[in-house]
Amino acid sequence: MPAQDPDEHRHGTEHHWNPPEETEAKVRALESLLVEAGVLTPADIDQMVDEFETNLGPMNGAKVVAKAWVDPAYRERLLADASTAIEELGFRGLQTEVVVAVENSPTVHHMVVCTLCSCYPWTLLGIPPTWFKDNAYRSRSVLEPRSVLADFGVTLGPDVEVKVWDTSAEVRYLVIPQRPAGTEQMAEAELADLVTRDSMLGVGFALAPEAVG
Amino acid sequence: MTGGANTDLERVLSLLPERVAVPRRNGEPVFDAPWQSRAFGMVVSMHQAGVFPWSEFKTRLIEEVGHADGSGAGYYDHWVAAFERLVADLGLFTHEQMDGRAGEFLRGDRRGLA
Repeated sequence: MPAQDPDEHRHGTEHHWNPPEETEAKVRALESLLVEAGVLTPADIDQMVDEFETNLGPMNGAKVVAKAWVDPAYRERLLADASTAIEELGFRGLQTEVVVAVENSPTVHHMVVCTLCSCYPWTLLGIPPTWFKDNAYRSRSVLEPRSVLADFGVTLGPDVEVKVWDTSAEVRYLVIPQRPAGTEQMAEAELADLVTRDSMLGVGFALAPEAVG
Repeated sequence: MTGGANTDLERVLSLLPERVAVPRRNGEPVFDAPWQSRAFGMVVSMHQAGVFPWSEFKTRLIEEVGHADGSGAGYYDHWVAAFERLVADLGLFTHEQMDGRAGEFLRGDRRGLA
């Protein structure tokens, strides 16, 4: 080991050794011990992190929505048979459930609730938010959906019809939010960044392009 | 990796109550440093390999978050503390072994995994 200049680590160049923080040292200790013992491999961890970061979360659903925004033929297929249209994009894990896509418009606003359990389109939207499983959200969404939407900051004109969809073990719903104004020039991948989880549950709008910079 | 395992990962994470839920932003995981993702990956990998039932980790995580003393420890500090206790309770390594190895990393005697 080369002699250490006590100030070296402050310069932060990658050639210098930076002492780890205490918890970081613990994590390295755990990983090295567990790998030595054959309990797991670094590749196992890589794979899990990669899966968590890239395959989960709402981006799968966001890609579906963005494609529907830019591709009218895909939108037609999605509205006609969402399960098949979603599989077109390579998202798996949907074999046991039917997905129905419902499209928001200036006159109709859809929102999703599950009054029986926490049925949720995992593959598209990632982990359900806790409030989705909350009894108050479930019951109020059916009884007074506009009030629930207002709690989420979604205020709708009195002429907008609100439709509440109750998911079940068999049927899951995906809300296609309205494409925000000012996004005509944006590419599909950029558009996907505007599609939030909440917008695909109908308790939010897609983001304005300014919001994501 | 099959879609089934993917769903299992989501399922076990969804079993964590709100106050101990993995930090997310718009549903996506948030790691502030690489070690946090390593700590996350180790726990979930070992669970999925059948080393321990998820409830064993969840219980300890809830305890660690509940014992937070306001020292500024973050979510993944609690996560790691819970994982260390679980590893010790499973008889894989003692706290002395883990602390000893961590000390080697802290002092720079050991830098890589090998």
